[in-house]
Parts: sequence; structure tokens; C-alpha cells
Amino acid sequence: MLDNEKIIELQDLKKETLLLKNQGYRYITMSCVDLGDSFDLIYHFDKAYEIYNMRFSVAKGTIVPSLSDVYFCAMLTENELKDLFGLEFSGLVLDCGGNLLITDEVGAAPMTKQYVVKAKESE
Amino acid sequence: MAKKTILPFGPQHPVLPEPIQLQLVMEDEIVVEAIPAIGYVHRGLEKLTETKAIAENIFVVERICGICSFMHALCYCQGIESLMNITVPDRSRFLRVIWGELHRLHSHHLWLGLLADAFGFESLFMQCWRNREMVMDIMEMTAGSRVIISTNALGGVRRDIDSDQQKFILNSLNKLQEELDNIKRVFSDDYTVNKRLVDVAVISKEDAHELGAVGPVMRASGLSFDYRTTGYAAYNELDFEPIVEQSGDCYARMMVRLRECYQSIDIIRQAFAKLPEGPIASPVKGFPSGEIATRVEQPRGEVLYYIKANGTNHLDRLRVRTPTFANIPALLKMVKGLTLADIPIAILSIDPCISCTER
Amino acid sequence: MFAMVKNVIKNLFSRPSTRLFPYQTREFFPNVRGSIDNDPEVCIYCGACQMRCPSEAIVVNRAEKVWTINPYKCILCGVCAQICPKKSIAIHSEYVHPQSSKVKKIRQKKVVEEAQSHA
Repeated sequence: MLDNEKIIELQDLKKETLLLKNQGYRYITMSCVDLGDSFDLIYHFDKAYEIYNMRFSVAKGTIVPSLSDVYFCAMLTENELKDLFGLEFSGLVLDCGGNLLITDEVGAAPMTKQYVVKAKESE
Repeated sequence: MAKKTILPFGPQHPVLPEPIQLQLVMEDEIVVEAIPAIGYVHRGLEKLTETKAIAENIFVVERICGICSFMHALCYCQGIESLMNITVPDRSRFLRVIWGELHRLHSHHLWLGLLADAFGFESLFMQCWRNREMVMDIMEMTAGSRVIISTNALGGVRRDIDSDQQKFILNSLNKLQEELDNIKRVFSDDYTVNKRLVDVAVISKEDAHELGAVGPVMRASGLSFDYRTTGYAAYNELDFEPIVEQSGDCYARMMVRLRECYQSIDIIRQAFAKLPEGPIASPVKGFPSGEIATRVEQPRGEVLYYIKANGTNHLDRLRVRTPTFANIPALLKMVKGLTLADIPIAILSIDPCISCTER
Repeated sequence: MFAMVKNVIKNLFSRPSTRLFPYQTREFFPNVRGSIDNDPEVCIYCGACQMRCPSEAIVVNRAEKVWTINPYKCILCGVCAQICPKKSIAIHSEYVHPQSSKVKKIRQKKVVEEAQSHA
């Protein structure tokens, strides 16, 4: 449990974010934690040095609405999580198609717990 | 209506110290849109931190970025310390400020040099980097290494600064300030420099806030945000004000960093004057558990660490949001409407650190 | 104009800012982390350094009393020297010169040798 945290529902995400934007919050970033069969998504916002967090859990495979039409800067974070966790976002304003950070040879979702890192044989 | 051309800028370009690509959609000489392509130096360090022990992770997070390595370690250590309720000794809090500000000094000198190189002022570039060498010498003397100084540890710092070293540092800083005066005159008043920087790549106050810009990019647009004012480490006992410029162009971003060099020198002097005696590290027992989001002001802006620990020697998740990552949307906005010749300076003006961005 | 003349004269008669490197070398500061070595006679081969090394560069063979470091994996953090119970691991301030092959540094009780092994 983080300081200043609010647990919300998936369908309220857009509404809550718009509310925050109108209050003058700055989007910092979002974090994703792999919980096994679901993902914990935490959105971090800032206003006058105070951090505000929004959290909800989604089952794996759920399509999450994108915030990139509210905060354009969410576009990079969402593309990153799409690459690293295999999350799907609907309505991304700029979709890098899962190739923002990684190439196809890495395989899908390298940051999830079940992904096994292979060591180089030369080491 | 001119025909649109897509021009790839980077990943290899003389102005870029690290690889990033911007696909510039051009109409004649004017950029109408820019599409970023990163991922050339993604190393998966966040994944690596899940397999390493908690104390070992300090060395991993230091290697996220070479230029602000100390602040990465500082942010990580502060996060773990507050999860474990460790009180850091006073002396080590001040030593952390000193090394942090030394890092800010060398980072800003590096950037000023690169900027001079970008607008073609070779001798100014040489002078900046010559001055930076003084800071690097201080680092080598106090920490034993020039860039990745590895002096942070859970519960304090690993090395002390004795009184002989203090004298050397303060002498070097006096010399550095004299040299900085010479450079500042050129950067702020020179006709050619002004022609290249003033009113180039302007970003307004509202845009900077909405696009989530941080650090000097934000402060150059008139937003007063410096996370140091919240008083982590020993900043609450030191006297300083966030440096803010209003115009939001490349010149303002340069002036913010130039004035922050003076501010850093001042903060280091204050910290030495107030440096208390005592131990430099408190003992650490056990493992953390719980979640925390901590922030620290780096040379490039605010960094956020989200740490989730589960009571064992390994973390569940470590998420790093570096300042350059937050500044890229602002960069995409500010290059719109620029001519191709100004693009290198616009990109450099956010102080891009791509290794930070991709981790 | 006058300022420039002053600069020209100063640059004509002042020494260069750089060092003539191979002939003039700078002294290293004490405590610089340049290279790591182990004294095989003092070492008790406990393996604490292997446990704590963040980059897994040190391998200790307890039975045969062999201590091996891979200098190309070592990040010179100095943790091993800090925790060594016998203080047999020392950090020298001289940096390692570039080499044409990757040589592991092997320290063995009684016999000290540089063995060639390709990593």
C-alpha cells in the first residue's frame, strides 16, 4: 500500500484521470506488477510535490483503456508496458506495435515472472 | 502544399552521444511531426534487479546511467531505508548531498560542452570539459572512481571525506567558479550563441506541465519544481531556491543549467560548513517488505523509483521512471515547426540520456 | 579587441592544458579502485567474496585452495575487499592495461601463476 493511494475500478479509469487533469495534476508514470494471474497497474500523479497513486488489478489478457488521449505523455509508458508485459491498450494515439524497446527475437513479455532469461553460452 | 518527406534522424548522429531515432516528417525544411524510436540500448536492468540481492542492486541501479549514477543509488537506498525504517546518520546525509551536487556539476558541465559542440563552438566545448575534469578529480580522490562512484550503501555511505580532502575540494570549487565566470559570459552574451539558442524550440508553461516534462526543461518554462526543496537527504538544512527561467526556449534551458552549476557550488560549500561529526553508516538488519514510490531530483529532472519488496532478499518489482523518459513527449512537441538545422540543438536541449530512458 | 589580444598573448606563452601523456603521467590518488588482487598466503578461501560479489566475477575453490577473478566481469565496486575477514584482498590504484586476450587472474596457495583461459 502506497501513500496517498486510491483503489479504483477499471471502468472508472478515464473518469478519474480527467478529474485529476482538471485539478492540475501532472502525470508521472505508471507501474505494472506481475501478480501471477493478474497485473497490478499503478498510476502515479503529482501536484505540488505530493504524489497521488491510483491502482487497480486486471486479469491477464484484459484490454486496458489508454490514457494517451488525456495525457499524451502516457503514450510512451503504455507502449513500454505493452512491450515488457504484453498488456493491451485500446485507443493508443501512437502505437509502436510492441517494438518500442525490444525486438522480436526477445520474445513476448520479457518482464513477466514466467519469462526465463537465457544466459549467453560464451560466459 | 509541399510534399511530405520522412527523414530519419539518428540513431547515429554527431550530436547524439547515445542512440535514439526520431523520424521527422518534413515539409520542405520544416518539421511537422516527429515519431520516436528508442530501444537501441535496452538492457533489461529492471528484470536483473529481481534476481540480485537487495544490497547488490545498488550496483545495478548505478549502472542505469553513467552520468547520474550516484542519484540513482541514492533514490534506491532512500526507498529501501524508509521501507525498513532505518535512520541514516547525519554525517552521511550531508555526504550524500555533497556527492549528489558534485554529480550535478559534472553532468551540467558535460552537457554545456555538448551543447557548445552542437552549435559548432569547439573551443568552448573544450573549456567546459577541461573544467569538468576538476570535478572528476574530486570524485576520483574522494570515492576512488571517476563516474560510477559506488559510495552509497544501505544505511549510509561507504566512504568518508576527511579535512585534507575538504580543503582540496573547496580550492577546486573556487577555481571552478572563476572558470565558470569566463564561460558564462560567452554562453549568455555571445552574439552567435544567442542566434542559435534564443526562441528555438519553445515550449510553453502549459505544455510543459501537460506533457509531464521534468527538471531543467520544466523550470525553463517558468514552472518552479525542484524535488530537492522537499528536503530529502540533508537538503532541508541547506538554503537554496529552485532556479526558474521564463522563456522556455533552448537559451532558457541552457541558463537554468548554467545557474544550477553556481547553485551546486554554493550548496556544496554550505554542506561542508554544516558537516557534522559522527558515524557514516547505520547497521542494516533484515529485509524490507511493502511498497514505496520515492523520488529524487537528478541533473536531468525528477526520477521515480517504485519498489515492491516481499520480506526476502529479492525484490518483487523495481520500476524506474527516469527524467529523459518524461522529457521525450516534450521534445516531440518542441521540434514541431522547427527547421532541420535547429533539430540537433532542440534534441540536445532536453539533455537526452538514452541509457537512462531504456534501462 | 583588447581582450582578444590579451588572450592571444596568454596562449602564446602559457603551457598547454593537456599532458604529454606517455612521457608525463599523472599520479593516481590514494584509494583509487584500479585493480583487485588477493594474497594467496593470507587468504583462507572462505568464499565470502564469491557470495557477495554483485557481478559474480570471483570463484573460490575451497578444496584446492584456488581463488579466481574474471577481471572482465569485475566492476571494481570493492565489496570483496570490504568484507574480506582476513583482509587478504587488496585494491591497487593502478588500472589494468588493455590486453589482447581475456585472461583470468588465478591465485593459488603456494603457487602463483597467471593462467591462460579463454572466457
